[in-house]
Amino acid sequence: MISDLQPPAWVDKLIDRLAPTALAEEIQGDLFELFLLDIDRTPRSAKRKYIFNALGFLFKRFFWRSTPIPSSTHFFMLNNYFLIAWRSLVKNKTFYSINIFGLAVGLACALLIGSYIHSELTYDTYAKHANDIYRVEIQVLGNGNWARYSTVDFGVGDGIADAYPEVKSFTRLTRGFAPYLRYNDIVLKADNIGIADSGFLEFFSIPLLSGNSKLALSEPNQLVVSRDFAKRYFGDEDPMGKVLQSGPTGYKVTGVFDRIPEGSHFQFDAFLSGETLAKFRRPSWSNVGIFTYVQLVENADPKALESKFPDLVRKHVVPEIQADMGVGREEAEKAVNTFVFTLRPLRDIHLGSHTSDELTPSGDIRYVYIFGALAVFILLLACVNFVNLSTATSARRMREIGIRKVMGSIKQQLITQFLTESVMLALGAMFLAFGLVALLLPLFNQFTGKSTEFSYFLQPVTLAWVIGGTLVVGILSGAYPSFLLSSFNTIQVLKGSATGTAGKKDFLRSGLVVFQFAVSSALIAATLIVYQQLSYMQNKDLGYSKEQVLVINETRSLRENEKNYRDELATDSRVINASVCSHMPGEKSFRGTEAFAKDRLGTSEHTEFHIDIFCVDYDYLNTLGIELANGRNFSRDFPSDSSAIVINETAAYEFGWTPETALDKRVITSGQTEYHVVGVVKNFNYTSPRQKVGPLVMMIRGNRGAVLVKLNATDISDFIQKARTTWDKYNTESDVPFSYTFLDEKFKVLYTAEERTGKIFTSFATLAVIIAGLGLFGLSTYSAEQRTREIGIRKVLGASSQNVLLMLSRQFMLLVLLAFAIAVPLVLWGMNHWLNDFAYRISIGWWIFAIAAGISCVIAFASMGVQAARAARANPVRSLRN
Amino acid sequence: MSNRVYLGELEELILLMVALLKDEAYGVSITEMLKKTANREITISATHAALHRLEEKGFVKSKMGGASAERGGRRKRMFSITAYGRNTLEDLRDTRATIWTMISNPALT
Repeated sequence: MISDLQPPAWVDKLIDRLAPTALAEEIQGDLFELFLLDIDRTPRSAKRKYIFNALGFLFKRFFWRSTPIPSSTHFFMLNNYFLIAWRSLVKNKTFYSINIFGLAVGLACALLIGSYIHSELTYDTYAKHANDIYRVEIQVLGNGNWARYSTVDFGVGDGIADAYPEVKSFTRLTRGFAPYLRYNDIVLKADNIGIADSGFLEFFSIPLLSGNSKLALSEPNQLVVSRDFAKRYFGDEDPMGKVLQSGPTGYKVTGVFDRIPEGSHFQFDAFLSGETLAKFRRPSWSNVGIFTYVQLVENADPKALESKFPDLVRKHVVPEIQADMGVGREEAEKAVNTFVFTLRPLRDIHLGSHTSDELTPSGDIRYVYIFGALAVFILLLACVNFVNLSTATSARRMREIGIRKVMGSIKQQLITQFLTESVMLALGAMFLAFGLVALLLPLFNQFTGKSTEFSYFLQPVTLAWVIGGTLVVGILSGAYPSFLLSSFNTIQVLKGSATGTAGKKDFLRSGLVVFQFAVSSALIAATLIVYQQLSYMQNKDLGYSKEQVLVINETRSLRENEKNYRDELATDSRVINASVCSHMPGEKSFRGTEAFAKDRLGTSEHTEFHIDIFCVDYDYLNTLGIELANGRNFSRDFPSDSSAIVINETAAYEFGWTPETALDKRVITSGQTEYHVVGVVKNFNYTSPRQKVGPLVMMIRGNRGAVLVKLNATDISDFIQKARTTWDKYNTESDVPFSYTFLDEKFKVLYTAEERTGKIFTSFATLAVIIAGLGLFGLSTYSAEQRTREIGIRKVLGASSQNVLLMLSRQFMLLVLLAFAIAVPLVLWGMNHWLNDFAYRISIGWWIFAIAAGISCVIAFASMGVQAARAARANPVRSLRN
Repeated sequence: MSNRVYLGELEELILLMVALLKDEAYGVSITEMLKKTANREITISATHAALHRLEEKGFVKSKMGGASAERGGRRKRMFSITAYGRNTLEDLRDTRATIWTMISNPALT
């Protein structure tokens, strides 16, 4: 066979490429001869030996060295390129350090953002069958709006898994209450416990370090804990089999896991077996309350499955509504169309689901896009600098290029030379970027709330990307200068008439400056807008007073003494008012129920919708300073107030009334309970101001959970001390220690997302401004230098320093203003889009742009002013002497 | 340090091969001959490297020879020993001979 007689062609090509012609010829000749010999001796391995022999040459020094035979100019010149690059670097330190630093900042920024985006996009991928897992959710139509809930009722998971063969398995999860758990004398609040079905750990492929993942959660009162959690209670003891006491109940540790993966939409320290709670066995369908996940068989179509769900609604939900709300079959049948179960892919939960009830704060795909775009922009800015500064330095190297050309350099060699240089610089910037990343990572993690480690950036895949990316950046940003520099006319260059300021290039350079400043002033304006919105939300009149309100938590554990505790605190002279309540503004989730207006029952307008419920006492409205729009507050003088409710304005409208007409109207809630309205309060914002105020119903109920104390004193710490001793007096039945917060602090948490956005925008804007400033600094240095002689002559002829300064800055100032004109419409468009998400938003005022323009001008002036001033002040004699 | 150029053991063997093969000394023939006479199996690249060193030190000289079909029409570099190379080899042989005589006849020391 002829193919067997041929040595592999790529080997020859490789040698041709690497070795000088004559050397290649003799080596290839010898290799071929040996190959023929080998075919005779060991035909099977001849080819392998050929490759082996050939590769042997690559390890020999003579192969790479210039030999007496015509040498490899290519490799010879490479040494020279490195040498010259180094010399030029040392000579123009400022330029190159600006160049490298700017690029390093850009790269570091891209790296950090890249890690953020990567972690956002790979959420919930750790489970083995992540792609087949879906979360069951409900959408409910009420008053013309679809409300989405992330949880369903307790019977749904089992029901779905039973009814359809394509559902392989299901599991359920909910937040646990936050009990104080005791082990010997260690009492800690376990506020991050999940309650899960027995198959949960296997379902999500969470491995146990010890314990059996099939059995660990199968019986009541079993607890699976994370390693950290175990350490907190048991120290170095083996946690397996230990019992944690919560009041009279003991939870036995039956398993230990390392930790929940960071990219998971649930983050619990421990899981309690669902069997512990009776409600886990409740077969009901029409409420919400538990996160339910199903795993479908491979390649099953979730849409097809969703389309079968209305049958289940007819079978399970309709009868329940009938019984629960006391309505007719026909009325209840409406639910088939208004009560829709949906499936959300597991991987979509973090970025795609934005219900008010999520286990961890949701991400937002738009932020992923925005940050990605910003990272690209900043990297682009840095590359632009690189191109700009490299072309600017070209003039200084005109002569070198001329000489090289005269000595026989061809265009391709010059291009190679400059590309080598820019790739070297880019690699240098990359190392610096890694340093910056290491330095900035803790700060960045604080911003993003993630805990990325530096080792993430050293993984082979990441490294390959980074190095590859750096090379691309180096080549791209070196391409323009290298082509430009190599194409100059030799004679002109040597005569000194080509100064490198041809009109075309100036246009390009100006364009790049405009681009940079457009991006940075847009970011400055955007940052200002984000902060203005933030402060607007924080200072907005929320309809209640949150200042000087002390929140005492967990008063539920005082049992019957809860009210006595409140009463005793209320007698203190520093207390304006105090209230026992279940919920307060600023919390993340609220109790709620389905409700409808009795007077609409049987009419076409009849509709049920979800309302939030606050269980309060007589003093709640006064303590929080919530104003009544109509009617009265609860009163001890009306015994019938046990079935009375006070609603907010939104609820009045949703029930089909107005605040004026709402009094004495009847409301029926789930469980066929009837209430009458005694008062309507003005809307107060009890959730984030991002959202509109929802329908709220307040009712009088006992044993509520927290005590609010409105204080007038400045000496708050003394009062807290008193509250603590009083607590100890009444706290006779539990281990729960006294704990408190302030309402306004609690409220701040709601702004975390916006504050984070603000911070991230600030840092981006800063980065962009730094890079743009560096670029402008470099360019103005260059420009001033180019015009030294012109400036000298102008000064001799009578120009003052100010004239020169103006002349030098005018050129760039015009560019910066042009950039700003480009940025304004972009910012207006983008930020209006962002603001539309808020129920209560600012409008963008012209003064924001005035400030942003001011800031960019100041920065532009600062970065070029130094150079311009120096040029303007210089003694003309000096610049004109030679 | 004297001006003497040192010859490595492999270099010496290869230099001997060049002398032995006279007009037929080039990479492949030297490698093959080395295997046959001294039972030393080395890679072709090692032979080339040694030949380059020898040429640098001035023990051999080379020129490009004619092409042949069995090399795919490529020319080979033919090596021949220089007078300096031959002298060095003879020096080495004489030195060793002297030493051997001394070993077999201790009285001579």
